[in-house]
Amino acid sequence: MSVSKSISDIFLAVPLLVSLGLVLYFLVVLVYYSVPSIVTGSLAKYSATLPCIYGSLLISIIAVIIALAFSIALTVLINEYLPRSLEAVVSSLIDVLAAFPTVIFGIWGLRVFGPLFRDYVEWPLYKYLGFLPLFSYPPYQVPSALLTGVILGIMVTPFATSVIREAYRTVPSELRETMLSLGAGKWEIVKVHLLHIREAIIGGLTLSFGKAIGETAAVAMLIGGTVWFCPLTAPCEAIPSLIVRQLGIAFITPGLLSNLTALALILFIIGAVALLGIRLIIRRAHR
Amino acid sequence: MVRKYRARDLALGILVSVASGLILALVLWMLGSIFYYGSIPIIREGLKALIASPNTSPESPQYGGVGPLIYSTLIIVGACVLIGLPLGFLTGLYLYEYPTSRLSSIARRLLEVLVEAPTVCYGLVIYLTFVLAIKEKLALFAALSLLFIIVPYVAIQTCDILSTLPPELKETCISLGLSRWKTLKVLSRAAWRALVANMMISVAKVLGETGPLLIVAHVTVDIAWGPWVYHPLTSIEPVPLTVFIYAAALSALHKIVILGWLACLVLTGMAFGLFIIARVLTRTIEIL
Amino acid sequence: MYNTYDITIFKGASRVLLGVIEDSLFTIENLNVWYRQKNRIVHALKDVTVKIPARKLTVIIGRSGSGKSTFLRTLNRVVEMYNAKISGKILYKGQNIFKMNPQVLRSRVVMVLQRPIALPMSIYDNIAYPLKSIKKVKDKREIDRKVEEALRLANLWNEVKDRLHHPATQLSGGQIQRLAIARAIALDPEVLLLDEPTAHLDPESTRYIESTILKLREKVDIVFVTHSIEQARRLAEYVIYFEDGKVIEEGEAEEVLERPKTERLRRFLSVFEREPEEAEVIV
Repeated sequence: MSVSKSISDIFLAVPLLVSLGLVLYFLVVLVYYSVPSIVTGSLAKYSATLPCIYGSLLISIIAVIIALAFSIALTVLINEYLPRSLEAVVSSLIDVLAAFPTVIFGIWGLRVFGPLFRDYVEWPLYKYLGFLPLFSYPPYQVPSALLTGVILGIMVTPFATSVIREAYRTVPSELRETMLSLGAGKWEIVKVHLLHIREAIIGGLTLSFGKAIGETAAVAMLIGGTVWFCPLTAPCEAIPSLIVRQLGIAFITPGLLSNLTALALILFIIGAVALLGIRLIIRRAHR
Repeated sequence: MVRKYRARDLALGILVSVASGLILALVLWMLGSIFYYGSIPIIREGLKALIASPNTSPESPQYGGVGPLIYSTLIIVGACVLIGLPLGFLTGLYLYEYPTSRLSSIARRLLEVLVEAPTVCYGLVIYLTFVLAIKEKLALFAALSLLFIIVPYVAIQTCDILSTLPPELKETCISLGLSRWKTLKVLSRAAWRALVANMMISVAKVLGETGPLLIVAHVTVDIAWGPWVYHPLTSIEPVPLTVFIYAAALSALHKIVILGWLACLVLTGMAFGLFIIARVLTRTIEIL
Repeated sequence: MYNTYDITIFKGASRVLLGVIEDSLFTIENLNVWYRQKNRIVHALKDVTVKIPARKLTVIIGRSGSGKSTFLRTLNRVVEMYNAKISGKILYKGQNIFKMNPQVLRSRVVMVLQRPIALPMSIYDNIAYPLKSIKKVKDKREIDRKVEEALRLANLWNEVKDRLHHPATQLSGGQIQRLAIARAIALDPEVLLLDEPTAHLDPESTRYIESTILKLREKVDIVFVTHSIEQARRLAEYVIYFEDGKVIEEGEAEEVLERPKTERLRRFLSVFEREPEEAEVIV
């Protein structure tokens, strides 16, 4: 009995150990190649380090703001205004958005949406708000930080929406009944519901942030590839797109490979911290 | 007094419908673009566009097609799925079977971290250890880099799906004296719809993943049928659809851009097919 | 000439006619309510014709599932939230409620629910937010005064006065229920509908709430739903008995509870008298 049990244990443990090995291999390689750059201070001296961290954070924050607006609007629309029959149509349309491979957002943003966005949004922004440093760059070319952020925002909307909508649906119906019984209108009811699920909203947004900051293909296509502390309307550079662009020449440039790996590690840590954040929020909500 | 809160409710309604209308219009616009541009080569050159290789000569008016790209994608994704699905599934079984063991709690935590890692890191790791070592970007490496995506995802989802089964089922199996393997078999069969649906979604994820491939595959629009088709995994020729779309979108040649759209159409078709299968299998599937 | 039954009807009709003069609070005629529950249509109220008097504490009794809660929810039209189908007529102080703006009606006829629920904000804001947003009270001092007054009326002030700005979700069930009552009376409603407010509470909290209700009776008309005869005896001035979606008996409390005319009510009351413990289980 005990023998057969241990055999089946070992049998099941093998795949787990392989998977575990995969994870450890990933972490070890990432850390091993980053160490030289971090220890020697070459990362700190590397001219792309800070601008790219700035760029990554900038586009992800724009994406989160866009996703926040869209996901809350969709949640309220589906739960408060739509009849049940239309609900399915709207939610499948949003699911379609989640099913698109991200590279398609890239080509669409660059070739279809981008030119119109530059002409009808970025130019007016530059023209009327150009005195602000954020919009001080004339948007002559399609790729820009703002465009990247907006496309990322559209891309992560379904993920934020699914988290927020699920939470909104599970709010006890007594809350609505209470508010109705006090004579509240839609405005008050929606406000109280959103307050009730604020943890889920923050969770959904953190999830979107993690997705946005880790996205590579769409960013590499849309951001332009100029390393500097860019205004919103200018081409910019983020960590993933920098890696894609620079890796080709990395093995002939001393130290660059290690710098890029260290940047990837930073990106990974930002994502992991965001994930940890979600966990803490969820745990606090359960308490 | 009545008027005032009516105005507020009205404002809320307008705000909500405008924002929702905007995002829904964007979705339809994107779908429309894919179908509109993607169908141009098919209309011009028929189904040959799904078989021929891209015509990159600027003089020729012919589009060519995306045949080798579809082949490359199927090979790379196929190889990844062939290793990744069983590995992920069995890992998930372990996580489910021994939820309290130290090993599985560590493994689960690490896998969760990996699931959320930026995908470009996967490519980088493979690049640093394999591509640099032999100085060649073999298609096999692309498949390997995608393993990092499919294994943790399938493992965690498998564990979670099995955990939603009623505990009585497991108790019944064990009290009948079934072995551990038999019990897991019964449980997996009870949840097979969700498990298969989840596998479909994981395949769709891999299919659409571009980040690591931009590093470990050749980013080019220049691909043609050749002897490499007999040993695709060990050759450097294969260009998956996603990488082609990336390269085509940045191309200066209009017809290559259009071919990029065709690649989008094909890729979307595949991804949607998998999603629809998943949806049919289970109505309450998570899109995450 | 007339038998008792006819006379009752005649009396009822004359009351309806004289409704406004006689100062009835709600006059309900031929009320039917259907709603959908898991693909099944439930006929919750069947041809209910009844009158709720003004300036009296009306208690509605009946078993669970007898339609009393639905009836209460129809009085302020919250039942419409469940896509219910309604036929019949309800007059509130002579006005047809189905022609009134539902939000205005609900802010005048406020309901407190069975399950205590706190709005996801501080204790203070639980009362202040509806005041600000629904009643449009702007003055800070006025709001402070109303919050304190409502909390005092609800017997809650002493327990929470030092932590008014803490989240209300930290309170106990009994406290949240008193908070809900405070929230309702801060809006200065004309009628307070209470749907088994003590069903989920321990005896001590129940006592607190009952004493609150007896205090409030002077200020506001109260319609109270309960399945507990004991509670009805302690509180009621006027009683309506529901069974199977119909009104079986109505009248002054002593008369209905002590000398029930119908066999069904007698049976309902006797269950409680004989075996009070078991009765709780049955209900």
